[in-house]
Formats: sequence, C-alpha cells, structure tokens
Amino acid sequence: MFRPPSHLSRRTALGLLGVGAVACATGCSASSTLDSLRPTPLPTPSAPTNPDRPVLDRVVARIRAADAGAPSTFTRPHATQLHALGARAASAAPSASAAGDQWRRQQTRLAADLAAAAAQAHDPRLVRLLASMAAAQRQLLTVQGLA
Amino acid sequence: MSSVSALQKALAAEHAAVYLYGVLGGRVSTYGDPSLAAALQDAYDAHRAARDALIDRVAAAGAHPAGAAAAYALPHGIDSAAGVRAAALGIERHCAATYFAQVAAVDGEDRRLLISALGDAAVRELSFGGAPQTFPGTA
Repeated sequence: MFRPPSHLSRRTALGLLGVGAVACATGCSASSTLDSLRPTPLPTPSAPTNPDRPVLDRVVARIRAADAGAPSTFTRPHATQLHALGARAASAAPSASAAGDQWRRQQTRLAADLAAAAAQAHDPRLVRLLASMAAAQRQLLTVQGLA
Repeated sequence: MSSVSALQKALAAEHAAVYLYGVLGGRVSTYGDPSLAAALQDAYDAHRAARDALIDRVAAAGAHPAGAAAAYALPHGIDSAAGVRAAALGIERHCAATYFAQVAAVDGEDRRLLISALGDAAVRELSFGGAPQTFPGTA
C-alpha cells in the first residue's frame, strides 16, 4: 500500500496555502501602511512550488469526474488511490452531467490520462503511483468489457 | 540509478519471460487446453515484442543490450494446466513489479514504454486467473 508522498499531500498543500493567505493578508495591510515610509523592499524568495502540483490536481479532478455516476467497481479502488494521492474520494451522488453512458467514456479516457500524468510527473514516488494506477484502470476496463 | 540500468533490468525480465513462456507453451499443448494455449501464445508474442522494443531503447541510449541467460529456473508445478496458469500469472506479476520499480528512473519515450508495459502485464494477469488490483506491480 502506498503512503501519500508527504510533500505532495493536498491537505498539506492546502494548509500551506491557508497559512500563506493569512501571512499575505497581514503582510499586505502592514506594508500598505508603511509603503510611504520606507523604500521599496527587495523581493523575498517565495516558497518553493511543487512541480507536480498541476499534474496532481488534474489527476484528482479527472478521477472525480469519471467516478460521477460510475459503479462501485470503479469508485472503490479509486477511493483508495485518491487517498494515496492525499485527496478525498468523489461525492457518491452522481452529477446531472454524468447521466447515461458518460461515465463509461470518462473511465475509458482515464487510463490514458493517468498514463500521461505518470509520464509528466517529477517525483519518483508519484511516477510509480500514477503508472500503477494507469495499469489498474486498464485492468478494470478489461474486466468490465470497456477496454 | 541510470536510465540505461533501468532499461536493462526491464530487458532482463523480458528475456526471462520469453524463455519461460516458450517452456509453458510446450507444456500446455499436451493438455489440449486451447484457450490457455492461445493466452500463452499471445503472452509469448507480447513479451518478444517488449523485449525487442527494450533492446532498441538500450541501443539507442548507446549501450549494449544485455543478452538472455542460457536458461532460467522453471517454476514448480507446471505439470498441470492449473500449474501452468499459475506460473504464467507469476511471470506477469514479476514483469509488472519490474516495470513498476524501474519506471521512475527513465524519462520521455522510455518512461512511456515502461508505463505501457506495466499496463500490458497487468492486463495479461487477468488472462491467467489474476484479479484487478488497486496498485498493480506492488504485490
């Protein structure tokens, strides 16, 4: 079983974003007050950005979209996989846009999306995780006759 | 680990798979199990193609592709169709685990090849009695 890559955890990242927002709010108000009293400060180094953040966000969004209205055969393993990515599973209630066979198309496309994400990721643990998830999706599609 | 080393490890797994499927195919014809024989033939062809693709990638990287061993240890219990099926499942799981372990050590076209090969092995597991896994390649 995978443990979420610690520095890739969405909750951690969101927590950091929250901390950043508070710091910005307080810093902004202070600096606006002092702007007229001191010279323009040198730019401070920003927090290091996670290069895998766009890939991770895209994957989580694609899985959640594909799982809207999909049977538990797909949603159960995806919930475990999302947990490994540090994200929560999709809501159980299907969205209106997931009516009909849309989930089938989304699930079929998801295998390629996961493979593409694995090809783009930087963190070795995330690369392995996404490659394995792509393989798992191909297994599910094969068993369900959707491959 | 260098990308060439990762490709060579994947190639070594494919050399073994090609050898072992050759042995398994010969055993199954004795039992007249056409569906299993067809699955073994498909797997043999797929592993030969994967082996050749890896040889090309290693050569493209300027290295000498590792050759196959003279022989490989045969799995136990391959004197029955069930034993052959279990051995084939073991081969696919080993290949999937190898690709899983090496996929992050390569980039670009090489990584796409290993991602695809991991998925191929995972799907072939289903032909030999395997069930879908949440994380193929890890067990």
